[in-house]
Amino acid sequence: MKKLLLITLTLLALSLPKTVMAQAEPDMRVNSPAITELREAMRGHVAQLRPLLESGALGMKMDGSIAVRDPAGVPVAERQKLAAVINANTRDKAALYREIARVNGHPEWEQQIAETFARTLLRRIPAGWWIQDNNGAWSQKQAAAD
Amino acid sequence: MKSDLSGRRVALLGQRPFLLPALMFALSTALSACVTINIYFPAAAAEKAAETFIDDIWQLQESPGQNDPQ
Repeated sequence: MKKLLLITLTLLALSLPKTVMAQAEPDMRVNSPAITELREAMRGHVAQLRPLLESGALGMKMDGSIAVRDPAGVPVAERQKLAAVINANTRDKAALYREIARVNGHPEWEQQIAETFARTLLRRIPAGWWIQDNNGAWSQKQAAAD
Repeated sequence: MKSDLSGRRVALLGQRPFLLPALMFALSTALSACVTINIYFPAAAAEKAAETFIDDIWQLQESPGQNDPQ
């Protein structure tokens, strides 16, 4: 009888990690009042940045932030406003990754979330958009070969 | 009959000294697994979240060769 109890306890102890692991990869939460605000702000940035990304005046860095590639492609009167939008976008992205890490209960995930978002964004932008590598060199995104 | 049973109970741990270490091993495995989970980054879930968020913001199509619908 006692042996049976011990075996049951042992099996229970062994199955515990599996139970916990099964619950350890739920969807990552991407909602909170702060995230909703950031999402709205970033929609506004995208509306302003998209035409210039398509024209090649702007490009993306490897961290997913926006950089000016060809200043001549931006009307002088709009340069200051554009710089403000780019700065706001960079700031909001950082805030977004920090907030996602926080609402998921792991502030230490911030950097990995940032890397995941940057990688995903660069994968999803259309061919022809400009990307700046970590040495500062620009190249146009090639169409995926698959 | 009853005393015989309780006698067997007392003898159980003595006769099988491996039972206690086995139980402790199982428990420590379970506990260390919990610690591992705490530092584990859910890469697949993060990527899914990134795709959903970025598609929502940027309205981009991943399919190659296709221009942005805008």
